[in-house]
Amino acid sequence: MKSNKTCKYCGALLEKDWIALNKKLLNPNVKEYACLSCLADDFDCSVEDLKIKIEEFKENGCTLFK
Amino acid sequence: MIYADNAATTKLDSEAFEAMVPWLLDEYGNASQPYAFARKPKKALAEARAIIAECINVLPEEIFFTSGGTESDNWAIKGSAFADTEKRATITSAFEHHAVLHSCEAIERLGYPVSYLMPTADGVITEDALGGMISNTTRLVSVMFANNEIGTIQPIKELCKAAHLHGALFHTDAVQAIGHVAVDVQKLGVDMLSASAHKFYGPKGIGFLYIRKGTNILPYIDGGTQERRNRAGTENVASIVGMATALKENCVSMSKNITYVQGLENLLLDSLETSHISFARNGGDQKLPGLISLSFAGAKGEVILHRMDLMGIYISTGSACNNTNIEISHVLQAICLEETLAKGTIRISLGKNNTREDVEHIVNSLTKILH
Repeated sequence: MKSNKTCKYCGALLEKDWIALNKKLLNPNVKEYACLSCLADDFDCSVEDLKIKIEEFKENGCTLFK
Repeated sequence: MIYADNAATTKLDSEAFEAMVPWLLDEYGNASQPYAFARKPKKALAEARAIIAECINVLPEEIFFTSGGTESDNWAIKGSAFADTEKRATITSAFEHHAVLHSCEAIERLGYPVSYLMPTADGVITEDALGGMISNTTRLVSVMFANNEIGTIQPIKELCKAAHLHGALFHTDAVQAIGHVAVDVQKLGVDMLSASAHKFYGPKGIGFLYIRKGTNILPYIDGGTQERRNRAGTENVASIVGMATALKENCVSMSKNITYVQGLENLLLDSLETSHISFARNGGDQKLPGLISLSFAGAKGEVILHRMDLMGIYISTGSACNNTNIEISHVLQAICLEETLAKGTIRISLGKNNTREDVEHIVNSLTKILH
């Protein structure tokens, strides 16, 4: 689901799960967010790795991803 | 991939794997049967029991094979509690593994009193603490040999002596220590000791409980006559042989491994300081080599764990997000670690298979995450 927020690096429109992932992997209080592609660049991992993480956090009931 | 969670489990030694194979394929006979096809597995069990006994300096008949550390702890706690209707009290520490703590909670629900010793800030259970709690109604004292989260090695010999002075039995959960540091049961004086093979480069699902000859303890699993009627169930010959092979190998190379792993630990700590990363090390002076509990004030252990996971580095944390709150582990709570440090605590557990390059990668990753 898309939000009205954009990536701080590339300006892409962000999905709500991506914002939750920023909070989960950086800081719950973070105010600026990155899209999955820019986050993957920042973390030296693949977009697929981040998608798997999102699914795992959802499976574990993390409320950030509701 | 960098595996730095050796306190959670270890990679099976290739020697142990090779030793297991014949018992999984051709020599699959049930060791308890009275025919010729059972003779080889029966002999293998006897040899494995003798090897393990020699490694910890006990008699072979004092070794009982179990499914692992959890079963061994359950047996020691429950089996000894239920064996005595007069002396019913148990003493343990507040930062034991859950296999001990939940076993104690189970006997408490059945009316057996349990008291919990608090460790010092360094993670040590002192003789004084035990002395203030123990009485002549104490049936069992159970204190872990080394803590699984912070690595602190306990003064087991002294605690055991104090227990015996009051006529109590002494059990130690030595799951983290066996195969990594010298464990001589005769020198320690303990009555029972739990161990698990997968913590010392053996297979998963196998372990043992040492029970000193003459100890009054009930069998834990009812069924057949295996383990001299003390622990029923068809013997897992392959895993038992693998466990004995791994334990012998790691006892023989223990000094070398300790020196090597301690060198990696020193490199990691020195490199963190060189990288100007501020951290606190938990666990006091006497610790397991390679088990490194680090707290980073203001950071979040869970964030570090997931970020390192994305970099292919596997570690553990002392706190976890429980849906809405950050839950601090019972161990860090027991040592009264300050909340900002506790929330930022990770456990790196290095082993003999790690390299200096692994440590350099770990430090580089931590530097990136924390700066």
